[in-house]
Amino acid sequence: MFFLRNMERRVTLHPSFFCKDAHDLVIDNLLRDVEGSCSGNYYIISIMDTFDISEGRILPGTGMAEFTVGYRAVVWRPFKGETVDGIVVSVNPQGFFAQVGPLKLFVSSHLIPDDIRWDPNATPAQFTNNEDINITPGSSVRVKILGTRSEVGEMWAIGSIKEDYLGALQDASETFGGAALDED
Amino acid sequence: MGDVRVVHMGTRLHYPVTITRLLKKPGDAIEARQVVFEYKFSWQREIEEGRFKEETSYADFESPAEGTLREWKIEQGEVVKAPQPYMAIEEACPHDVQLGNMCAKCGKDMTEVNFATAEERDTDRANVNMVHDNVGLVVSNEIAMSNEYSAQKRLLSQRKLSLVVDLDQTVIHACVDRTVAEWKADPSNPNYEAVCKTKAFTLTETHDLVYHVKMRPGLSDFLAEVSEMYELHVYTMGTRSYAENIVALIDPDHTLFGQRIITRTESGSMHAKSLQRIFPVSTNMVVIIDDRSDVWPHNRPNLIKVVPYAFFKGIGDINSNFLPPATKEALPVALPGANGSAANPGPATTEAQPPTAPDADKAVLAMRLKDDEEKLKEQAEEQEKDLQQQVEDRPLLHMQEELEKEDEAQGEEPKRHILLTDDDEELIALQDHLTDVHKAFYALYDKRRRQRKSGQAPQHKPGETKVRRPSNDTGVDLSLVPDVGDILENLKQSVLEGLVIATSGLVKGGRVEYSEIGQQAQAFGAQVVDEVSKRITHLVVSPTHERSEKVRQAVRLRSIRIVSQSWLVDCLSQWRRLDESAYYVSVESLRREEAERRRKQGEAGSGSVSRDATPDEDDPTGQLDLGDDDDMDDEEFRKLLDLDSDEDFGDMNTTTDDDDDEGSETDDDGSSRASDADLKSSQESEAGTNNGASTTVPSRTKRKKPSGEDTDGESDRESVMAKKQRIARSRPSGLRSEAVIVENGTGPDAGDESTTLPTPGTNGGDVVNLDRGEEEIDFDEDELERDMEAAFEEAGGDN
Repeated sequence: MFFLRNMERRVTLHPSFFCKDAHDLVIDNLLRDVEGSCSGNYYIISIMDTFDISEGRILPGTGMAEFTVGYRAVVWRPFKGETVDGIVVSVNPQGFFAQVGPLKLFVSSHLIPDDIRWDPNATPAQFTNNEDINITPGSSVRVKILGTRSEVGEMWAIGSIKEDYLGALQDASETFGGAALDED
Repeated sequence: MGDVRVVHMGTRLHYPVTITRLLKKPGDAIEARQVVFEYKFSWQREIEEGRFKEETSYADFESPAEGTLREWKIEQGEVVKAPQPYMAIEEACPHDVQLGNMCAKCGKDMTEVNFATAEERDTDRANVNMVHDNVGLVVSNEIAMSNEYSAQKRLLSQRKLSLVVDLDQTVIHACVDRTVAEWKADPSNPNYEAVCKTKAFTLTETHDLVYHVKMRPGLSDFLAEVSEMYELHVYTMGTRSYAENIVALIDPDHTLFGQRIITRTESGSMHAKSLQRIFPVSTNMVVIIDDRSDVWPHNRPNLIKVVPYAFFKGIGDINSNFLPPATKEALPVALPGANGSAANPGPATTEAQPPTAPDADKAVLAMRLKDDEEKLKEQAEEQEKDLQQQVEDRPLLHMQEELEKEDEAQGEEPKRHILLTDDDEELIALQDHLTDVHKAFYALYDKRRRQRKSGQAPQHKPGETKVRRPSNDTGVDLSLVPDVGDILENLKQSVLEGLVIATSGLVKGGRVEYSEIGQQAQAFGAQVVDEVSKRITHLVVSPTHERSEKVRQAVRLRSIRIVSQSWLVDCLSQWRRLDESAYYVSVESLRREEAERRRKQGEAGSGSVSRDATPDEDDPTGQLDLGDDDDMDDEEFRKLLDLDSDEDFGDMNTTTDDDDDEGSETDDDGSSRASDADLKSSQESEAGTNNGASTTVPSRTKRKKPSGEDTDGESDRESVMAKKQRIARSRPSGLRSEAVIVENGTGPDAGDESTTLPTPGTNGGDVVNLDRGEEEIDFDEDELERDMEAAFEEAGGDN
């Protein structure tokens, strides 16, 4: 789910950048450091604006200036139970991995409907029901998140397609404004 | 869902415990950390120092698992003396597939640890890595097994095996030298033709470096044909994106490798590759092709070592920073060039040898040695540095310039020099090997199945009325799968069987048995020894050591074939024992020197009393395979001889003939003559001891021998094991040669005139040599000194 969130961050600036444009440099640094990062529970998708840049404070010893910047950013946090769209990146006998925007998600073969089976003989290997559904790298899938786990700078999730209206999407246009499209 | 888990009590209880009350009935739901039974135990409380009082305590037992209770394995009132399972519980989720410590089936966090679960962690329930492209995903042993068995069944029904393919220098050669691009753009360049077949890609993570990739000649056909027999996997120490780019080049439509790519990111080890990473349960059906065998420490039996593909001369494996530093005893070879290529009389495949690392590369090598133990990240940086260096140094350009310069210096007409040649033929041989292995595997498998079937047939009782369910024989029976490692071993072992090989200049420091080339030769059935002795059949010589002490010794022992290293390399590559005649090292000058020296010796010792042959007297330096341990050797050898000559003497002629039929004619000549001498001398020495006559003379020479041996300075290093092997190996040849003696009725030197070997040194010196007397032994000491000095210098030169 997407949120607009107010946050704060301390940005340091090297003395050689002390000039009248220092604030722009601070914002540049902030954008570079923060956008696209994962803070454990959520991804910072985009910084909307910065609303407060403090006075610079010289750090003793290094001469660097430290600014405290308040900013507003769009963040995305995947929740347990949320349904998301993703793109399959790899398949294996255990299940398949899909990329939901920045989030790596795994769907175990136990959580794939029973009629969709692993077919190692197909090229490329795929999950298929031998009719209209086949899940190969590149397929679009709709997945329900069963659990997420996060570590600093990284998140991953477990998903299921063993429910109604989940699974391979026949047509890319069917994908609604999910994370997958936004991020790509 | 119903997976029954049997829960154990664990070791933390104060055994023996008495179960006082079971709180749950079968069928009840149990939550995690819920108390499931109560128990009591007695223990000693220390009241004051040295005084104990027995007390009984009551405690609750919490369940580490949640689910539905199926069955109690304990009873109320039971005294449990040791840890044992106490209940079977039906779990909603067995947590047997986990992704990053999260159950992939239910999404539960597996790292949760509490008092009850401390002994059986949930994370331990799945610890087998099964997936090529992800390390986070682990499964339980049971799942790994069932997956692998089903994969094996599938392969068996398709009559395929698995083949793990290395990329760098095995099927492709990559470099980042931008010279390649320049040559490619310039049709007038002599290397244009070779270079224009390369392909290029860039990687963003290495700052848009352009990688030039040359596929090994015939690669696409090779892969297409091999993929009929094998399911292909890629296992490389390159990065994921590098591997994917390469695979996109060699397998553009992803039909060959599919997603079966494993790279250093997922390998799990920085220095070694392991089949267990992809095939955790059974490697019975897996063959590996790789140019480095040292990176497969645990899977050597499954490995087919290929000759490294070095298209861009002087540039090694660009991903080798992640491997242990290449033991580049790997066969120095003169650069093919205007005058360099003539040095190798071998067939065209000799170009397949790895080129010597040029100086720049050696520096890199030293650096690699240095940070061998450091972390992956540093290695990555190192690699980047190396790549950068390669970009800056442009080794190819330099080499080309050098080639041309060399020519100018010699005042020759400037002509077009082709640095890069595209004549590698390794894949052809490799495909044959793979076909052989595949054939042998399925032949054995079919045979076993037939045996099983015919063995089962009589089990039907004649009057049995019960109709057996017809076994749905799908051509698959996992219990009969042979081990491909054994098959490979069998195929290889016969190649160089019976040969005893010593080397000169191939292995720098350390024992040749443990060196890469030595281990390979051993895998192909040859026996590898350090010393030049009469027992050895071949001395393999590097081009830089054609005049080494070992070669001199071998020249003296005329039976030894002195061949260039390319013979061994080609044999190992083609899995055939090649005819040595194309590989003989020219030792004429050495032989002349030797003859000269012997003549001088002869003059010095001309006054000597001629006496009967003593052991090894035709060996001027006493360089038999006798060291400090030799007395025992001789002893055993003699015993053996005694026994054999008494009992089977008559049969020996026939056995000899049989044995001789293997291998080429010339070889048997050589080897049998070698052991002729050996045998004859020991026979005679025995005769001497029996008669009580001339006993002192042999014993005297014997004492000298060790010192003579020390010229090489390696003799006493031979292990007991190696010695035993040696003795064992010398047996058949001893028998054989004895029979030959009987046949010919001649001494060791008699055959020399008739032989067509290019190596023998039938020069005047030998005759004198036979007549050498006791005094000459004293003379030998001077000679020994000289030899020792020479050997010492030799050794110094090596390092």
